Amino acid sequence: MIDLLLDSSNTDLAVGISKNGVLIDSVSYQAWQRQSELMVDEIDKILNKHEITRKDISSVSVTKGPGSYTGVRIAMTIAKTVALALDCPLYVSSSLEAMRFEEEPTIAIVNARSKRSYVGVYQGKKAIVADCIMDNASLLQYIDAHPDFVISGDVGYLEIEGKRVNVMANLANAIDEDHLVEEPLGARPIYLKDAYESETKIIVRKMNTADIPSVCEIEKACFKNPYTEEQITYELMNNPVGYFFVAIADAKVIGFIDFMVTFDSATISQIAVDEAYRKKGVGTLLIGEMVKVCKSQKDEVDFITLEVRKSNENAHRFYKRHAFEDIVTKKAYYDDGEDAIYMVRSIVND
Amino acid sequence: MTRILAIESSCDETSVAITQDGELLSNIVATQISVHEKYGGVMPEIASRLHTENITICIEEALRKAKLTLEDIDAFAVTRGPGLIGCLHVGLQAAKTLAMLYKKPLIPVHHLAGHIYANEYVGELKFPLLCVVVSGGNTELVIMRGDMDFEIVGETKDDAVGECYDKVARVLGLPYPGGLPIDQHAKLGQHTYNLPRPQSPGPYDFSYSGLKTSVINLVNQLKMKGELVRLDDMARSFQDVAIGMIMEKAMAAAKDFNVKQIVLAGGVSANSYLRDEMKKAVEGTDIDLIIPPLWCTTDQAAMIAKVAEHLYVRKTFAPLNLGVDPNWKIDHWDDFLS
Repeated sequence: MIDLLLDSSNTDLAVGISKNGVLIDSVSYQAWQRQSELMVDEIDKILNKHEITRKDISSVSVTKGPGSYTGVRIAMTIAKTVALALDCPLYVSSSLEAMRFEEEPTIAIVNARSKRSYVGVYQGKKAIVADCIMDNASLLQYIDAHPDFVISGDVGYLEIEGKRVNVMANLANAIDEDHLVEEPLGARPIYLKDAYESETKIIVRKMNTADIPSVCEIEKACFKNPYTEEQITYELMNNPVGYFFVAIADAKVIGFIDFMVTFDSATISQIAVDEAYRKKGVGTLLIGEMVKVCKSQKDEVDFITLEVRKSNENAHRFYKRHAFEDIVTKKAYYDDGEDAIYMVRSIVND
Repeated sequence: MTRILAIESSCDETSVAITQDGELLSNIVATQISVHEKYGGVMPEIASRLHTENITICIEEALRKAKLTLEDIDAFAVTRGPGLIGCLHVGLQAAKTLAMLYKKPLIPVHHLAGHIYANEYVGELKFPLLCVVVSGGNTELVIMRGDMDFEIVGETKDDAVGECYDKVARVLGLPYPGGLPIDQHAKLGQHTYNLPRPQSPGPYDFSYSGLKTSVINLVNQLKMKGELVRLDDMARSFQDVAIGMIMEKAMAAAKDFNVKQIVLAGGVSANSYLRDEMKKAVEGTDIDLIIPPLWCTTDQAAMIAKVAEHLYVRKTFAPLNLGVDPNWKIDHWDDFLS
């Protein structure tokens, strides 16, 4: 029985076949962005060359990233499809782990662009430094500090030299319990630079009516006297001087700002962030969006004003940090008799 | 007996369908709409990731529902373009892998041909026909003089009509995708806002970017003056102009090319106003009209399988080094060798 080996996580395209951990044949070359065209064809060629039919294939072993986003998806999609079609086990390895040398400690490196690299440091099967993203300056420091470690990868971009390892041979050796995927159909690559899945990637956009239920939930969790759904709908759709923006992360609404622009000043009606997403700069992004709107008005907006409950120390600190200054305390401003601090920020010289 | 398994992954739906001699046995659609809705539009990288995650699950489900195994399939079809490049790659790998393992033909299908041929699920195409292709990525008038014979006689010179709907919806505070909410609000309103009818270069060509800008400017002007934007009226005024342009150009082309039939295709063909106006326009004429069922107006693989049936007969098969083409033109549907 034959194991099928696949890697397209970087600019290379590599296809191999192995038996009991021993590589029988492989093909590997720079494919740049043509992996999508060429990979299946290469598999077909190597299988035909050795007169292997689908019934001879007992497993598939593939790199899962990190690396080129499109690249990792190509080999992974093929591998998953093979696993489905042949009902065979799927083994996945980190593409950095697949670059390690067996005998020596290895610093495996893949260019992540933007002056950064994907890095994993392996000694035997053990990861001394788990796969991560490093800026290139720190990586070079690390390399300097470990002169006895072997560097694996196409590292010309760092102006250093690296060795090339036989990724196919490593994949042939990664057919074991540690690399087995329990549910191959749901398998997915790892991207590390997980801009879209991480909590730090936050998008601010105009609110729309589909967001109303989510905003209501945050309202209820954050305010003593939350707006009702009707009030929010009015503010969003009918208040001619009103603006509503939402912050999105993990494909859900995590915060919002509601403000009014009237001639030369703007007033924050509400700003709130889901508790799980606080202290991540969401509020700053929302205020930033508001300032942008204020600056883009035909009539210049000079000030942003707001009222904050005297007891709400966190909010008060937040506003101070964003250049708001206390102007006056409005006595018994809220329905329950609490005082409000009236704060103002200039945006003229911002 | 011919059984075809088709895969569609050109945008934000992962879909797998199986047909047997033209009969649809299964059509699985894993939609990503709730994810992209939150971002206010399709995020290509997220879409590609979700396709990779979902594709094999969809294939398995399609087989299970059709009560077939991969051994039973005679050909594997896939959307080769147009679409989002990262998304197209995923479906292509799956289809090529299956074709390779089972040594069966690989059939490359043009996405818009799919939308047009989806109409075969409800009626017979009669040539010459005019196809009104209206979606988030395309606005085209296509004349067909026979099977798989496409001539683009008119197209948009800037934005697609569906894209224009989405952007106008965003300005009006309506959710993504914008087609249905604008259609719903338009039904409640009157055409009271004066939106200029865009000029377009050719007799059957479209232009939507000017209309979009007019709506944005008008909404901003009203806001600055502190006036209320009457949402229903704005939606109606916009829809009258947007759909009016389609009607005018389509009916001109139908007359000039002397067509027997008009078929609608693409996401915007779900628009109720367009459907009603089309029905009215052909009433009392000799022109036959096919309006696709709503499930055919969104992206799914059943329509890809439909085209693949025709290509199977013609033996339009691709080699395993097939690549995607995000800008594939429909009149080049049989040109896929790079």
